[in-house]
Amino acid sequence: MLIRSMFKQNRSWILGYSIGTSVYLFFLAAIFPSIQETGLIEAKLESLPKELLDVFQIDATMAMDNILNLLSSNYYGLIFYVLAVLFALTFASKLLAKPVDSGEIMLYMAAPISRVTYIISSFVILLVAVGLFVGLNGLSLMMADLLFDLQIDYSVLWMLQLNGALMLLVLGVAAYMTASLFDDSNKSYMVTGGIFTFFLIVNIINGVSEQFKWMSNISFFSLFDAPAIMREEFWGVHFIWLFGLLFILSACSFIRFTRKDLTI
Amino acid sequence: MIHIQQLTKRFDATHGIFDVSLDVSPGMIFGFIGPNGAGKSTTIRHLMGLLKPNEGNASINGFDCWQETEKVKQCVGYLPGEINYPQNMTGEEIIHLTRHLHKTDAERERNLRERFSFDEATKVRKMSKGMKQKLAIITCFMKDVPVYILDEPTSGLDPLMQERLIDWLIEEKQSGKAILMSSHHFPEMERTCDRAALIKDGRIIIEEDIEELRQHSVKRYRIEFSSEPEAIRFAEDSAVRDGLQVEVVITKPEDLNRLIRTLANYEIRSLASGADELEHLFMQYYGEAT
Repeated sequence: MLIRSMFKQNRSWILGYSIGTSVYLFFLAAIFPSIQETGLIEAKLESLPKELLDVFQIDATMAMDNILNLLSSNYYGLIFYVLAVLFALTFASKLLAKPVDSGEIMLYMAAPISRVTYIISSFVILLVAVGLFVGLNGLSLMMADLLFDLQIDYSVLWMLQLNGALMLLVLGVAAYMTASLFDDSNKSYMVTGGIFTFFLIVNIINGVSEQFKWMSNISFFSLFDAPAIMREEFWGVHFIWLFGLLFILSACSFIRFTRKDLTI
Repeated sequence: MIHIQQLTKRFDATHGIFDVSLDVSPGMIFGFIGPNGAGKSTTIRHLMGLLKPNEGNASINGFDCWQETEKVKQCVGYLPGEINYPQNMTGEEIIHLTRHLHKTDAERERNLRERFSFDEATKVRKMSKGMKQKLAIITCFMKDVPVYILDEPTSGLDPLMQERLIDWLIEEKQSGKAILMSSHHFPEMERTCDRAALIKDGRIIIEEDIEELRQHSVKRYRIEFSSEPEAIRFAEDSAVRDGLQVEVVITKPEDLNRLIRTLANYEIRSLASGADELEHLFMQYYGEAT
């Protein structure tokens, strides 16, 4: 009942992200054959400076003969990072920061529900939200494939979705953990947003020059590498890191929230 | 039922609650009085497992409020001081959710919805303070539990609803429920509470049975005489006169008997007692403590 109620209160933004991004992907996939015929994408990529392509992690050598190749340098690049940050901030704000700040969480805290149950329920909502996000994204591309014969490699498509899902989960739990440090939702929003923006900038800078390559080691976002998945390079280390971070951040959230004084 | 033993929570050197102890037994309404920021809500938050004490402990039905908060909340109905339900939910949805999150009683729910009726289809964000308060009263008492914790329960209610709530509280007390109630509204405290404590700057400065407090309290009487000469004559004995009206302060029951005997020699139009005896007493303590 707790999970159902929490989902009901949060379904608008969850469906907003899932349906919005899926519709974008579907339409991009729908117009892909006509764009491909014109050869505009290759021409555009060739005209861009190498540094810019590196910043946005676009592999210019990749032939744009497949919708996934296009998406790996379009949607599954900076667009997905920004969406993931907004998604994580929304999740932490709606499920923890704002309910604590406004006192709405008392509806649940007055019931025979432990804080552990509340966190588990929040994470189930995150799991459902992420599942809908990447699931609908994947399904919309599969539907476009059926309708427009795009020759999508489903194993690569779902590997991208799985990597994206893990990234969304890690960012969501990280934002939740940071939100549990504060009673003031604005402060929590600013600090989490600041941290994510820092990682995002680090990720962009690491593409600027070889001397900044080391920076990729300190950013969450380097763990979602769509071009590497497209090239079918070894991605296992990224997944292990993401699972590790997910475990550590979840444990920190549990420890912090179950010991926190709630002045509501 | 409710047991608080030397509870201390320090937010800093001067803010918090210090060495707070009190007990609320079944069939008792315990009044918790104090100015804003005195520590009433902090004490109540400990009972609801929201704050971890630095020292001392709080327990309900033998369960520690911090360690066994789930068990505590199974036997407690809570009415918060600030009603903050999710803005997009309707009253009916909140009641429906409460029915599922708590173990509630259908007959009590029907009874409460009759007594504190309001438009349940209204969304919380469109509700007036009184409507929210009625919704909170219904969701609190829908649970048939042995303990209720009420933070400013009559806040925002119109006089008719205040009266209904007081009647409801007296019925609950008679059925053996233990009720801890914080309030600034002294008349309702006088009518409902069996015992009361005054908290100021985080410390309890007085705790006694309401009857004892009444006996110790200063009583004021306003007497209206039929003529000014009579009022002047009466006021000569250290009473305060305002035209035909004279105010008398009584500190001991024997003084009241003497007053009645004296008044038999005068023509008086009316005799009224000050309603808020406790208020005067507590104001006296507020003053002493500052």
